[in-house]
Amino acid sequence: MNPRLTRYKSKLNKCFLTLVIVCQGIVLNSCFENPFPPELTTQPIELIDAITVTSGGNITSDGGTEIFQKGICIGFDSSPTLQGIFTMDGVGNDDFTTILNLAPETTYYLRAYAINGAGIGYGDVLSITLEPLPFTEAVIVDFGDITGSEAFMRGRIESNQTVTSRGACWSTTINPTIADSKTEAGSGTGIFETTITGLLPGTSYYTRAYAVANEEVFYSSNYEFTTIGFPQLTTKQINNAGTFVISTGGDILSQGLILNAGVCWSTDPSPTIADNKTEDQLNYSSFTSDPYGLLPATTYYIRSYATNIAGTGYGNELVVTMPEATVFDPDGNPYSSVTIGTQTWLVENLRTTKYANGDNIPNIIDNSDWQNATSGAWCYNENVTALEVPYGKLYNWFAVTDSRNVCPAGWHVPTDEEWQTLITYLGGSDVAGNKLKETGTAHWLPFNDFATNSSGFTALPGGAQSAFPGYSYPVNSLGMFWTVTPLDEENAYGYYLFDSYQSIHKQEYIKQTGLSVRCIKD
Amino acid sequence: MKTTLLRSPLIKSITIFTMVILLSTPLLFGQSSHHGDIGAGAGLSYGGFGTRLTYSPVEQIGLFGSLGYNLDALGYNLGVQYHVPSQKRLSTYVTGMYGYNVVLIVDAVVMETKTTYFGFSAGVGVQFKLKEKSFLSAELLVPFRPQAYKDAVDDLESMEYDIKDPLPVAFSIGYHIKF
Repeated sequence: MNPRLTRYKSKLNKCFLTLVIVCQGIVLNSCFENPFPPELTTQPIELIDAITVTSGGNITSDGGTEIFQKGICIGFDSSPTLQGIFTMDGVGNDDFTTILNLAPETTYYLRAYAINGAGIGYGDVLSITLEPLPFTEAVIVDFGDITGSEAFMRGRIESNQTVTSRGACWSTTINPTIADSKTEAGSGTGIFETTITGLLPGTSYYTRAYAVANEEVFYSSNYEFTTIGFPQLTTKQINNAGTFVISTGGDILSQGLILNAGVCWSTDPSPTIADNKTEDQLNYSSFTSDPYGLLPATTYYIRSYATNIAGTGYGNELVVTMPEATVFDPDGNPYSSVTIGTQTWLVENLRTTKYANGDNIPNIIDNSDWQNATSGAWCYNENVTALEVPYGKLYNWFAVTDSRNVCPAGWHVPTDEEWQTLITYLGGSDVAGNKLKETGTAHWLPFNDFATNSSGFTALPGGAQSAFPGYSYPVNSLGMFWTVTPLDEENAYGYYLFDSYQSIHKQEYIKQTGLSVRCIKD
Repeated sequence: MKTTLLRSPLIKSITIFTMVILLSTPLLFGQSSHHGDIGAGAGLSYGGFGTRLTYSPVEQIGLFGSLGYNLDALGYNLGVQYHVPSQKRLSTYVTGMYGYNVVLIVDAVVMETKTTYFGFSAGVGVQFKLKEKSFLSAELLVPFRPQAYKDAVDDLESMEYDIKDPLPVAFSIGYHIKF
């Protein structure tokens, strides 16, 4: 072989050998490469809301083997590891994103991780500091002054946001919102006061304080309250029907302070306090009313009423037809009459201010003048004008015996004999009292249990106006009536009935005494 | 890049490996090849369950490459044998190789993973001559676990994954035919 060719072939073989060895090294290096932990980067942290962020991992290399765990390490220092808090976001070599719920006012360090059969790979560390959580709190501090239509709320708003509106909202169902009824009590934080209005009496409501911040509404817890309802009451049955001194009243069934009570009446159904009414005193939960000014032969609708801070409630309605008037006095007051035996008596006590001829009967209100009077006069018991109904007026004996006749024409004040005739007819003085007195305790004190008023006389306890200083005969206990029969220069006879007596008694009275008068037909 | 050669198609790996062996050996040792053998067996020096091709350029030296399946992926080794001279049917040799060394099995939450590690293994072996051209081979090997494997075990155990420690030694056995 040519030596040059042999040398050339030898060089060529060495070059080829070198090339083969290099290739072999490269290939073997590739073939025997051990796996390594995954390589990845941490996705930038994105803030979703105050406490929610997203991040994740971008896998740049799976390390030569499959990733069987990956996620985000969460830490409070700059080197979060899997020894702390971490998420698990699946397997495989794909990139991943996860949502993290974190705490406000905290700095977090995050980094993605992935685990394969070669170990743990971490991404770069990123951090985020979360701002304080926006908060707005509404609290009901005080609630009260509840009436039938209003209530008072004191609330407090605490917030680290700008509160643009605040107040109270309410509804008859739980969890009211500002879409229901509401008040507006300014803006900002701190204490506010507001009055809820337009409520219905006797209705249960739920209310909450509210605050609007960043177009979001924040509510307090519910406060349940019930407005004060109208008083509940019933109307007492009408007593003395057929006379002009009917009485009724009411029994209040509901609780709470009553401001006013009485009965109201009208010739139309459903009378209200805008019509005629009485204003009576409450005796516990009951009251007695004496409607007045009722016209003869007229039908009235009557019902009791009671008023509290919520308003006025009404009792059941009664219907009464007034009797035909037997007679009118010069003032136009109507009277009914009853025939007892051979006598016909007026059923009501005399109320006139005029004699039958039209002359005025003086009204003396001064006690001294009353006690020293030497001519006819009238007064109310202790000058209480409200006592006219049903007790009528009180007259001294000079008026009773005035020749101008205190009774309506055709009627006169009875003599002692005429009283005796009445008493005898009714069985004597020991029992006649019960037959003469009005029944019940609307006017008489409770000892009046045995009264039957079987005669229809309807004697009322109008009391008397004393002729002596320091003495008084209040209403409700005594009913005292003049006769025209004198005893002597200073005294005259009268008759009295007592609440606890079943009898009637004749009694002499100083002529200046003011007694009730019942007229008897001539 | 999320894949490596280990994830390459099997045919590609076989082709590359075979070409390197075939091309480099004659060049390194010239045309003075005496003999070789090919066998099938199990163990590290067979790439798991696989074959081993040995070439002896000189009397006492054997260069071999193995290719098999190690229950995870392709297992392969390149190594050398030194045979103690013997005229008996039973002969011994020492061997060293680089390649498939251990498979790390992780029972993860939703899946089980296996990862093949490469490293150096050394040991002793015996050949038992059966016929003129066939023999049995058995080896006791000490795999030197690569640092990557140790790091992975540390990492995974820190995550409380249950890692089964492999035996400190490995065995191989195979049947060979000389050519």
